[in-house]
Amino acid sequence: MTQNLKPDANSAIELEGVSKFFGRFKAVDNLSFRVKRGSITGFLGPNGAGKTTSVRLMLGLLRPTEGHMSVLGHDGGIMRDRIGFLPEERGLYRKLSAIETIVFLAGLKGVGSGLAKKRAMALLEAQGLGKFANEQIRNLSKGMSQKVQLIATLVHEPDLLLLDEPFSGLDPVNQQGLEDVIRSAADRGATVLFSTHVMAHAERLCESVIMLARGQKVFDGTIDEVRRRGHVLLRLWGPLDPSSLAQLPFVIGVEVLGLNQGRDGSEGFVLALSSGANAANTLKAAFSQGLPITHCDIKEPTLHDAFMALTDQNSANSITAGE
Amino acid sequence: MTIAIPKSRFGAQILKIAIREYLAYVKTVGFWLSLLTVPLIIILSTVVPAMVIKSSGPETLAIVDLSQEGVRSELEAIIQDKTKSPPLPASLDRMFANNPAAKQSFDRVASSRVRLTSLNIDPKASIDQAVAEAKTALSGLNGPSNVLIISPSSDGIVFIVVKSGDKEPRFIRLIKSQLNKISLRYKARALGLSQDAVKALEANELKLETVTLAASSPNSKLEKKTPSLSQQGGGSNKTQGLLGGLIGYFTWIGVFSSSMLLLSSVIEEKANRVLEVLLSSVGAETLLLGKILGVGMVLLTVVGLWGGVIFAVTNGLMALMPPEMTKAIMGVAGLVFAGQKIFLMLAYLLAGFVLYGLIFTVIGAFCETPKEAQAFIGPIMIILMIPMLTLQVAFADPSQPLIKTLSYVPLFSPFLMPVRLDHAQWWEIVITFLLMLVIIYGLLGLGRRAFHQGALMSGKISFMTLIKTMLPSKD
Repeated sequence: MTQNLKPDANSAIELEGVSKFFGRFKAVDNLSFRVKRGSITGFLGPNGAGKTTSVRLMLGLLRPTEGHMSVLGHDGGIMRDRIGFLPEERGLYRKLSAIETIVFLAGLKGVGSGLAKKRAMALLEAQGLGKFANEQIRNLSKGMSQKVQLIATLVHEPDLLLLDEPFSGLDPVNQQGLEDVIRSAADRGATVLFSTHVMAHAERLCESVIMLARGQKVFDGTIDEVRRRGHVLLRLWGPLDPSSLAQLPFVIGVEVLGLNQGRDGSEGFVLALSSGANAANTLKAAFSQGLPITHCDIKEPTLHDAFMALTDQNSANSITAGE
Repeated sequence: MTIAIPKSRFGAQILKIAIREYLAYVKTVGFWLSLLTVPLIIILSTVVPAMVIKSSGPETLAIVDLSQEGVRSELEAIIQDKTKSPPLPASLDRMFANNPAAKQSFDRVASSRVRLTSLNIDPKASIDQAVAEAKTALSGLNGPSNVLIISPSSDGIVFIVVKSGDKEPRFIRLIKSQLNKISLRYKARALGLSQDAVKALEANELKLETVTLAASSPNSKLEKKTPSLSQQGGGSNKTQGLLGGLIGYFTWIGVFSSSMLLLSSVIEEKANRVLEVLLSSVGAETLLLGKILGVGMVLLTVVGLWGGVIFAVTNGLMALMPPEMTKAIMGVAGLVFAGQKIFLMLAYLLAGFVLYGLIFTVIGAFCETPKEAQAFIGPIMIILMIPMLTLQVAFADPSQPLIKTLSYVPLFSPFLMPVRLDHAQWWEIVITFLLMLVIIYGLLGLGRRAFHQGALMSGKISFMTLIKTMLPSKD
């Protein structure tokens, strides 16, 4: 059962112990987090992690089975007019024109027809779609109709933007354009929460990220904090024994790179160190043990590495992805 | 969790959804083409044959009365009365007010199809002589197209028709019963009956009494009814039953086709992923009501347009029809549009549409293709077929107990009550509307939940899943 939650004035979204069951299946499990007003937050997680269900909960499309939540300061209520939602699977009326679509959806959010038209035209122009304003959606390319849907999400100038996989299906130029749109929305004071699989967008855009796996939160913090949760990779070359390498401090995995992989034809190894480990200490220990190391380098974890580590993917994949 | 939407916006949102839904249909060429097909068929099947008959030109008739007893003037008076043009509709009257030439031209076209003329034959001529002279006149350039010779005989009177074509002349239908009466009169006189006896025979009416066992009476006493003359002939009752049945069929077609429109609209929105976008802006109830209102407006447009065409046919174009067809149409229109009946029929149509529309909309929310929807529509179609089949019984006798009982069932009331309107008590009408409202209210509650959940579901859904989603749960 949902309970009342005392809203925090600084938080646009607050979830506390929220769970959602579909029959016996637990799609979201005891989820708690806060999203700061005016921030850009990445909502990350592998497929089936519960991101879309969580977004639907925040929108009021689904009711939580347990826990309580507050969105835009409304405890137990959703102010739909103040939220802009871009669903993962895009959908528009194929026979409506771009301008009609935007004005219709803006009308549902309470924006008058005249103002909606004015804003829609400005946004269409900004997105390079001005001359397609009266074109039916079915005659637009996939990228163009995605832009129209994004404009429909923004036209009522919402306080909260919930974007479910907004970058999927966009070419690099349009991805960059969308990043700019998200930044300008945040500059205007809107809170943005977006889910994505592309870590680069989160790294460039977000101040903080929330990571989910199997319906549970596995991380909630800043980009720097999450990076530190990834595995530092230490690469060593030389006539080395993998079992000796595995005994070194902080080493949680060793992978053989093979001959000719390293410099001067010697055998190479990749050592995955535990989260937060200092690679210099491991290296110091290796030298003190007299291991015949000919070359070495350290690879700091990326957000992707952290994502893979936190969402419990197998380490071999993690190391390969890290390359 | 509750959705905070100002109450004043609720109606505006419903209206916006309804208008979009309405325009999505009425802006298509296909809609208007299919819409105009039925009125076009009505026009083609009524006006065109009438015009064809008109275009064949009026029939001219000369009556030769060898009896010299005023039979000719008696028959001519009847023909003139029966072929008199009906009064002009107000619209045409205004049109002709300042245009006498047009009025004259119209009168020529709209005038009687049997024109009376005279033929100069000696009243004392024999039958053979009269026939020979009539034949000569018929072959002449300005002669009549038919001649009716009336000649007394030893045992009564003889009517001889001399005609120019193969077809039976139209005037015979107009005066057949009068010819019978005249024949009877002459026969009676030949038999030596008095004038009073002849008049009594002419005025004779069939009296048919029926005796039924009164079902409501505790003593099973016999109830005797003497139907009116029109009822004895079965004409009015039968016509009303037939008309009610036709309205029932039209209601069925209207409810079914508009519900199918709703179904395909929701399926399309679900397949195009528009439903989730809409549900992020408005509540399921708002969306459900908006869609039903939109398609309801489409239905009213269709009914209005068809009604307008029927009105135009019965009002404006009627002057171009033969008088007997005009009278028949006026009679039918009088039965259909009598009193509040037309409003009740419209109310049953709309109630039926909302009832079935809700069911079809919910089904649509669970399906992404029409093929998926077929599995769910099957059971609904079985229910819908019940009134369709019973309508055939209702045609024959709208007051049958089976029809009466079924007409109280809210799912069947929209189709069977129009058939029973002439026989139903006012409280029966009130009860059926109340029952339908209760069911609509219940369906709206259940449908809102199912519609919401169905819209967010993907993949193939079983019938049981659909039922489960309609039931309250702690989720």
